[in-house]
Amino acid sequence: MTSQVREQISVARDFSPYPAGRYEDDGDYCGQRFREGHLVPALRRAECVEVSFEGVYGCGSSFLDEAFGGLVREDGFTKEQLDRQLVISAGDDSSLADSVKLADEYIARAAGHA
Amino acid sequence: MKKPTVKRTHWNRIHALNSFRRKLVSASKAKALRRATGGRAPIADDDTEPVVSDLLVVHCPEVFSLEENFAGVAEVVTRIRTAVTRRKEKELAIDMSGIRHMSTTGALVLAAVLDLWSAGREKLLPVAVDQWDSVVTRQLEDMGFFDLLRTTPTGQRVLAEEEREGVERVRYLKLRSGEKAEGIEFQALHNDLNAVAGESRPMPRLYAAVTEAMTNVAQHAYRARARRPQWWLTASYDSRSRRVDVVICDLGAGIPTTLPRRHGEFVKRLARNDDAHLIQAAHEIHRTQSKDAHRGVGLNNDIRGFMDGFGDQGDVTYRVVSGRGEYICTKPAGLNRTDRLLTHNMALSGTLIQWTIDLRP
Repeated sequence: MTSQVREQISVARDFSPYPAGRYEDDGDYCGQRFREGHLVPALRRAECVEVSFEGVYGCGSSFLDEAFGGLVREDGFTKEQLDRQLVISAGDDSSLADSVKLADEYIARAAGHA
Repeated sequence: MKKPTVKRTHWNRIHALNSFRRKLVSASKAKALRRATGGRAPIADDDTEPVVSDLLVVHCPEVFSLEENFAGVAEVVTRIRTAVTRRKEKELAIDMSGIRHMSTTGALVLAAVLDLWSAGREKLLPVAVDQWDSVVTRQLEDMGFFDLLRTTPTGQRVLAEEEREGVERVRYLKLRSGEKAEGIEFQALHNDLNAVAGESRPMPRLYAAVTEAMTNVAQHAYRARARRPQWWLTASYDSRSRRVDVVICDLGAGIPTTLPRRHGEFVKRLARNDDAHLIQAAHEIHRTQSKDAHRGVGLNNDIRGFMDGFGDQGDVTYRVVSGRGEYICTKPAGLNRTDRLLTHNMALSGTLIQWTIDLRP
């Protein structure tokens, strides 16, 4: 049940500027921890969640796939639901545009759309 | 068997060093060993033959570079790596006084295996540190190698002008090590690189490549082994060519061992499964596997994919060495990637990944 209209998550500020790894065994700032600790609670609370990568030093595929693809695989979200509810951006940092593209791609792949 | 006395143990150690000394031809190396024994003369307390020593003596070849002397480096690494596992020897005397040239990759794998030895609390004895080549010593100092050896370089001669130029032209960055995907360690290395290269451009693709390599170490490299995962990372910068080498390695099972364990069916379908082909195949595996298809994407997307992300900015080379295999991808600016496979006679423990980047504007 969502109670807020919009929620913003800055990966660098609210989680870590150094996201890396897939599972908790891989590192403290892994995709699983970001998904379980930030993304899923925000998606349950708000109608729209904006995730910004501005300020992070980079983002590997394992982190992105587990954080975003994992929403479909592990938490039961559908791609259509995430298309409506989740907005991912690089903020003002164009060098992180690839990460945004990959996050969207991993959601589509997890949902069997790629 | 009767427990050897303290005096007997001491004699065994000295005898092993003397046996090693007899094999040496150069006076400098003999002096190195005199230093290692503290100048003491070996004295036996009886006429019996000494028992097997608990000292491992390793001396390094003149060229300590995976590029120019793969077998020589692999032999040193394998001897120490094997001794770590075997736990028979309690002390390691490492003689590096013969090294005249050391590459970034050679320095990293040696540092890694010595770190592994030290972590087991076995004693590490650097031999004749004052006779190590001055240029190599400076390089190792920059890398923080002496902290690892818990010693300090002494008695180094003043560098000749051309040597000083060489040392100042190629700068080696501090070695880093960890057990997990620790992005902050890459960032620290990047800050060091910025300081020596005068660069400040963000490198999110390189961050992704290096942290994915760390993730692979945490997830796969040591799965079949009893010890904790560990990676070692360093970089060097050549100011003349504006070339950066970033190198990460582990001392785990290696791709040619872990790939068949994890993806046996895939490996059976390969036309060839020598080490070099297995390394190349590991980059393609996520495309063909249905089980856990979402996993294993980092090797292709980020670790090798960094080359594609670098685009037309400059030349870039990607290299993986594991077991007896070597996989090298070269991508000149604006051109397509070319792949090359090499097979060596000796195996290198673990996996080494190197990215060579051209920073010319």
